[in-house]
Amino acid sequence: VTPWIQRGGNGPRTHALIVGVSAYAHLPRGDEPPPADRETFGLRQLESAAAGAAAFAAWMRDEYANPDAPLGSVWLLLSPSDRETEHVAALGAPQPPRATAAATREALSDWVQACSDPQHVAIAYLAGHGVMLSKDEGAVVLLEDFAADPLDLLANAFDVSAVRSGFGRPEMAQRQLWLVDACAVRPTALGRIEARGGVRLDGDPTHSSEISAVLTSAAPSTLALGLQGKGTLFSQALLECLERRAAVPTAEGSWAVTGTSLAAQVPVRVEELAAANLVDQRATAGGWWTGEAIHVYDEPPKVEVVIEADPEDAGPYCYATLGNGYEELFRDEPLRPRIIRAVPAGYWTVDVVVQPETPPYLTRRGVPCPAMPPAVPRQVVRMT
Amino acid sequence: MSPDATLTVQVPTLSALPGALVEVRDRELRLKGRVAPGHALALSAGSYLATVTTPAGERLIKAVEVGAGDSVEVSLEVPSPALTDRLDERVLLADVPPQRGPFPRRVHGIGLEPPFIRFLAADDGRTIDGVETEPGPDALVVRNPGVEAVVLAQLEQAGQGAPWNVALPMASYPPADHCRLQLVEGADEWRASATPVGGQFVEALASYLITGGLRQAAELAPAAATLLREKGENPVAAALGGYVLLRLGRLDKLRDWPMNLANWFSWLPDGAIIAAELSFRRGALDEAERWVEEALHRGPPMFSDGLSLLVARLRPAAGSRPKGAERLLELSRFVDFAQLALAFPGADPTDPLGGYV
Repeated sequence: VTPWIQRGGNGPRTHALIVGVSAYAHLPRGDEPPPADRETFGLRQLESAAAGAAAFAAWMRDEYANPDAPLGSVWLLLSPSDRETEHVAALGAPQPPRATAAATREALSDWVQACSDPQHVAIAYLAGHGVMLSKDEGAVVLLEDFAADPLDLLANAFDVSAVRSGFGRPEMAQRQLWLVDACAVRPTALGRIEARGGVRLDGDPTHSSEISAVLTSAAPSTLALGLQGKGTLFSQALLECLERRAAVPTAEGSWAVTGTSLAAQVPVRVEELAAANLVDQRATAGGWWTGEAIHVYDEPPKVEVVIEADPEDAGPYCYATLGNGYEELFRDEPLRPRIIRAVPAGYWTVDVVVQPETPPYLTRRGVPCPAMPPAVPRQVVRMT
Repeated sequence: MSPDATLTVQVPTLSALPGALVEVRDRELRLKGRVAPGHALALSAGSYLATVTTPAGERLIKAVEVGAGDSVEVSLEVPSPALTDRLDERVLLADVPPQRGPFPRRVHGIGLEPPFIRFLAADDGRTIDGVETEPGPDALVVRNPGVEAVVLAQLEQAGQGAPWNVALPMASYPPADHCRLQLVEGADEWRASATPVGGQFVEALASYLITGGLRQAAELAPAAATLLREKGENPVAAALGGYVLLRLGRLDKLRDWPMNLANWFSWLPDGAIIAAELSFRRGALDEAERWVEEALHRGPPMFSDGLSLLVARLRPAAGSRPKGAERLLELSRFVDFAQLALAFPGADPTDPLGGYV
């Protein structure tokens, strides 16, 4: 399979494999009954998994930055639903192949080859229906032609556990991030069938990578969760965290997403988004984590600050200037009754000038306004 | 400019927590130091940000001006130090009277019919008698009657789905002889989560793990190693410390204490699992396999991290798995790995799939 992205360069590189499956060849569409000739665990078509994978692929292509291991290649395989087709088309050329078992197996083989250097970074993103495993293993993710063979139902499924185990070998990329976004097959539906996917590597339980972090989210039902065009709740949460929420300052004062900051923020955001959608969905962080940077920003991420006067009645007489001694982000903006503004993360101070002089309100200068992800508390400036 | 001032940041509810650190950055967000609450950090005059993340997952920030030659002391207040703040809004248990009568016990919830609770051994499902419960401020406090086993609380509600099982993180003697059990009312069923008690350190460690604070847990790691040395006092805390150190790759801090934990607490599967995982990661494969077999012999662990680590080692060994492996592999399909303590549905905890096939 031709990589979706192939960039040159020597030295350590990041290589990614991204697979998203919403359309299943052997699952019923709409109100169709399940097929009578094979077990399909009561599953139906999905609507968000491929869009989420496409959004993550676009982020990798356009935003991902890791000076220790710049992006080298991305293998992308998508099986979009009809409604997701436009999101995949928006990725532009080349269009990714469909996520069948044969194509995925071939891409896996190429990706493994690319990752065969302990200095490299390996990133895997798998989305679709899945049989959930433990939080150190992720899931067995069902590919487009799942259940093609009624006698070997999981032959066309990606076994994250086995592939990760295979990546434990010392010659493989020793820094790994496994992202698994699965709409969970009910554990009872599988009966006593072993959860063993056919797209796999020969795992070696005796080996371990240095860093092999696993973020897994199990959607609670066969319904596709997520806003149209924005992918699944997990993909939304993941991208929000990569873009801003999981950003932390480095020792030198620049900004990065680290393994531990991602592990802390993604489960929180998944839970928040799920609650907003009135469902119970969690994400778990398994495997081995460190504070090493996954993504490094070339400029601080934007965070939203809210500045308001106390009491609110002072607002019409107040004009705010936000800066840090070197630069001003805005000057003499009216507080009527508050300013809401996305600003670069950092340590800012706000001056609030009362104009014209209106007792009992007092001008305030140099009020600290630290703007740090993931969220900035309201900055209430006391004017009396 | 040489430092001629000091900054001391007090964090009242964290001051006694070994390993907790306050981070201090300058105006350009360059890290100037990490310092324990209440300890002075030497700085030059300037503007600084002091931050700390609490076990409940809250991040506290304070901007501080430090003048030349000043000794500045500020306080970062923790609004609510409760162990399970993030869960509080989901907890509907209230006004639970002491329940010391014979099995089954009933507790009062809101909305759903109250569930029955009984207590079972995780390894063979036998009933555990003599477990005492009493109402705490936000949860039931469950007290171990002196049983050396991983004890499950099983919640059952007439007419609803499969009962819900949760392992109770407690040992047979103080200070780890009790834990908190929170009942959570879902859409149409009761769930439960359990958290350890018995000291600020173990509660903070558990809470950081619940709220995803791995970096903060890393700061506690050296103290977790101390806990392992003092495991005779609290094997539950020692096991949690072991999991944190494994997750963060701090194998040097573990030394051989997991093996001692596993040897001295032969009823606790978690010790054997941590010893196995440590051995695997050190490349001591024979020893690792011995500990895996021992862990399987002991049955399901107390913490979901333990089951996750164990089955991740067992699954690739298809065809040559030791006795007992299949049971735990099957159990892992049902477990809620977002919870700290092992939790899963099933009428028979030794065979959660049994009622369905």
